[in-house]
Amino acid sequence: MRTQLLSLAFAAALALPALAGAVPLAAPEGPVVLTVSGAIANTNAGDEARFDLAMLEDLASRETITATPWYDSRRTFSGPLMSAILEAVGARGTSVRVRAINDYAIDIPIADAEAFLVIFATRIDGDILSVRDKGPLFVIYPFDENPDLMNETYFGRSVWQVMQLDVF
Amino acid sequence: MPQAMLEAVPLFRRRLALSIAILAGTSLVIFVTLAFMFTKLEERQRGAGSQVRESALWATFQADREAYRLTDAILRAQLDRTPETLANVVLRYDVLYSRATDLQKIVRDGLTRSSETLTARIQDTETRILGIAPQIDAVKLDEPAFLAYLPELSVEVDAIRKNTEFVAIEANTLNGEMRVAERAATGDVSRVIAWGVLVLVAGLVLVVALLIIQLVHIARTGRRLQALSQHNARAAEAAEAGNRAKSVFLATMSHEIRTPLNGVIGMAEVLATTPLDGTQADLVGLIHQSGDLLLDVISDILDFSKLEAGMVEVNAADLPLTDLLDQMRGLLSPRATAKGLRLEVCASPVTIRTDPALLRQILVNLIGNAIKFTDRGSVRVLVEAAEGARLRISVTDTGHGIPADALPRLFKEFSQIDNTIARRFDGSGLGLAICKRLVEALGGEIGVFSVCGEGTSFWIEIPTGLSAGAEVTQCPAMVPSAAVPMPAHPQAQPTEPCRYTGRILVVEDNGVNRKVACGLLESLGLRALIAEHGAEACSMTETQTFDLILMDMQMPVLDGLAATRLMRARGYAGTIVGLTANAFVSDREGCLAAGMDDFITKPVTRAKLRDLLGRWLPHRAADVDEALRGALIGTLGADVVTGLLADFGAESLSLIAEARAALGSQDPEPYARAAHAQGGRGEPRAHGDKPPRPDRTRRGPRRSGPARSDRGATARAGGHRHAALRLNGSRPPPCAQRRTPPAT
Repeated sequence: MRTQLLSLAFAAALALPALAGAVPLAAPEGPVVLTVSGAIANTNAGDEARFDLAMLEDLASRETITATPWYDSRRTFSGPLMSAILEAVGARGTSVRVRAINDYAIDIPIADAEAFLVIFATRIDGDILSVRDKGPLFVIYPFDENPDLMNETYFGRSVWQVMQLDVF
Repeated sequence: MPQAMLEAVPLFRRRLALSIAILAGTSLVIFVTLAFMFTKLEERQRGAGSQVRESALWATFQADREAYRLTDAILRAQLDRTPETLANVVLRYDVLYSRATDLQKIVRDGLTRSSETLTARIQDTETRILGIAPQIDAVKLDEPAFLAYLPELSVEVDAIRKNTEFVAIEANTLNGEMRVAERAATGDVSRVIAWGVLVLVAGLVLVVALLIIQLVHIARTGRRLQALSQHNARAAEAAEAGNRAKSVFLATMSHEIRTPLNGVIGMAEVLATTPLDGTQADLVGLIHQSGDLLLDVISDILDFSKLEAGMVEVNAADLPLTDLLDQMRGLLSPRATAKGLRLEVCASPVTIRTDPALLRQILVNLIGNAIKFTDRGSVRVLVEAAEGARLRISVTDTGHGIPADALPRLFKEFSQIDNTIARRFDGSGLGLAICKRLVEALGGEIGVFSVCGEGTSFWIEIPTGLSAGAEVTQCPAMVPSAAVPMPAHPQAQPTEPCRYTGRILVVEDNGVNRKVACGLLESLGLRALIAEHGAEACSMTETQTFDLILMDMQMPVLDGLAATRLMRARGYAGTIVGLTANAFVSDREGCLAAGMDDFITKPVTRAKLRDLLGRWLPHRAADVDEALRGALIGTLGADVVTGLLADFGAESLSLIAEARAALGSQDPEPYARAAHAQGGRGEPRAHGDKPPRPDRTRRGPRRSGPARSDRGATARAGGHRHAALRLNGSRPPPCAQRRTPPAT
C-alpha cells in the first residue's frame, strides 16, 4: 500500500512538468523496447517517444502479484505504471492502441490507467521478461485485487510482447 | 344455517388437512426442483470449458501463424542477407518460442486428452521449437554462421510448420466435436430445466388454485358466521327485550297495584279513626295489616324488578355512618324491643362515600330479617374496617340459624328456606336477593355464616370510597349503643299532639290518594281543601292562604315542582310540603330547590302526617283526647257531643272571666268554684256525677271549641286547656296506641 502511494506521488510529481508543457525526453541508450506515437507532447525521435528498458524502469512502477489465465500459479509482475508512461510522453488522448510484436493490437481506454493500477510489466518474479517469455512488455491488470476484471474484456487487453503504443 | 354449519365442520377439517398436505407436498417438489436446477446450472458454469477451449484453439492458430512468419522471415533473410532481416528471424523465433509454451499449457490443461495424436504432435512441436533454441542462440550474433545455418533452420521450421498446421486443424476438429457434445449436454440440462420449470409452474398453479379454493371457502364461512352472529344477536336481543319487558311489566304492575293498595291502607286508617265497634275495629285492623303486608311484598317485587331492569342508579354521597346507624336504631329498635330482643350497634364515627339510600335499604333488610327470625337474645350490628379500603358490616343474630345446605340458595330470588318458615314469617322471599343486588351495585360483596340453632351472621363488604389513608378505626369492644336499652314500654314515649286545627291544601291528581290524604287530615282535625293539579293550586293560593300545602310531584297540567316555583315566584310564603314517590337524595334536593319546605314519601299515612304536622304546625296542636271524644260520640252521638262542646266553650269563657275577676278581688271562693266548675265540664264521664243535659245540645261550633284559639292566643289558651282538660291529673292515652278506639 505504501509503495503504491509513493508510486502515485512519484507519478504526480512526474506529471507536473508534463502538464506544464513539452518536456524534452532523454534519448534511449540501449535497444528500444517501446515506441509511443500519436497525441503526445514529449518526444525524443521525431514525433515519437522511444524508451529503452532503463528509461521504463526509471518511471513510477508497481509490483502486482496475481493469478492469470496464462500461468499456472500466481506470479509477481513488476514494471512501470501505464499512467506513468502516458504522463512521461504527455499523452492527450482517451485511448491507446497497444500493438504487439505479432501485430496483435487492441485499444485500451486511458480511463483504465486511472481506474486500475495497470502496469507494463518488464519483469516476472524479478527476472527480465524476454520475448520468449512474452516480453519485453506485458500489460498486467491487478486481477486478484479486483475480481471484476476476470473476464475476456480485460484478458483481451492484457497484451503481451508489446512494442508500440499509439495514443489517440 | 347453524345446522348446516355443524355438518360442514368435519368436511371442512378434512379439506383443510388435505389442502395442507397438498401444499406441503407441492412446496417440497418445488424446492427440490429449484435445488436441482441450480445444481445443474452451477455444473454448467463450472464446466464452461468452451472459453478455455476457444483460447486454446486461438493459441494453436497463433502458433501456426508464427511458424509461417518465421518461414517468411527466413526466406527474406536468405534473400537480403542484412542484419535487420537476421534480427527479424531471431525475433520471430522468439515469438514462436513463446507460443510453444502456450501449446504445452493446452496439454497441461487436459484439453487434448481425447486425442493422443494431437497430444503427441503438440509435444513434438514444442520439442522441435525448443530444440533449435541453442543453435539460434549460438549463431545469432555471428552473421556468417547465422546465414550458413538458415537452410537448416528452414527445413526444421518447415517440419514445425507441418506440425502446427496439423495441430491447428486437429484442434479445430476436436473443438467442433467437443462443441457438439457440449451442445448435447446443454440440451439435456435445458430439458431438465424445462421439466423443472414445468413442475414449478404446475406447483404454482396448484398453490394458486388451492388458495382460491381456500379464499372462497373462507369467504363462504365468513358469510355463514356473519349470518349466524346476526341470528344470535337477534336472538339475544329478543331474549333481552323479553326480560326487560318482563321487568318493566313487573315494575309497572307493582306500581299500578301499589297505588290502589295505598288507597286501601289509607282508607283503612281513615276508617279506624271513625267510631267503630270492637269487631269492626278488629276487621279494620286486619285490613290495615294485610294491606301493609301486601305493600311490603309489592315493594320488594318493585325493587327487585327495578334492579333486574337495571333501573337503579348509584348516587354516591358522603355519609356519616353513625347517622345512618342511628336511623336504623330509630327505625328498628321498636320492632326488636317488641320481640324482647336487644339491638346492639357498634361502630366508630366514620364518614364513608357511598349511596346512602341503597345502604339504608340493605341494612334495613338485613337487620329487619335478623329481628324477624330471632325469638330471643340479641341482634348485633358490627362495623369494621376490611382490607383494601372496604367496610365490613355484619349483622349477627341469636336466632335459629340456617342449615348449611340452604346457604347457597339464600340469595336467590323467591327462596325462603322452607315452607314451614315461610308460613311462620311473611314476606316475598326477595329481601336477600335484593340485598345481594344492591350490594353488588355498590361494588361490594355479601355473605353469610350460620350455625344451626346458634345464630346467623350476614356480612357485607363495600368500598368505603375513601383514599387508603383514611382508615376505619377498629371497634374497641362490643358496647351496646346509646339507644339500647330501649325503653321497656314504648307507651312511655312522649306523644305528639293528636289534633290540629288549620286549613291544608292537598294538591293531588289521583282521586283515591286525594281522599286518603283528606280523610287522614280530617281525622287529625284539620280542614282539607283540594286541588287536582298544580295550576289549580296556584290559582287557589292567589286568593286564599293555607297553613300547609301538600303537593304531589307528578300531576297533569302543572306538576308539583313547577307549581311550587310559580307560587314562590308570586310571593306565596306559606309552608309547602312535597309528596314524592321515592326517597332518593335527588328527589329531596329537587323539592327543596323548587322552594318546598319539606317532603314526605308516599304512601301518605297517619303516622307520617302526624310527624309532619309536629314539625310544621306545632302551634296548631290541639290536645283533644281523641279516644274520649270518640267514646263520647259513640255513646251520645255526634250532635250531642258537638253541642256539649259548644256549650262548654261558651261557659268556659264566662267561667274564666269569673275566675279572673275573683283573682282580682282576692276572694278565693269564687275562683275555686269557677275552677271546679271548669274541671267538671272537662271530664264529665270521669266524674260521672253530672249527666249531660240533652236540652243543651242545640248547636255549636263545627270544630272543637277550646282548641280554636288563634295563633296569638295559643300560649295563653294552652294553659287554660290544661286547666280545663287535665285538672284531675288523668292523662290521655298517647295517640300512638290508638289505632282503634277503645270499645265502650
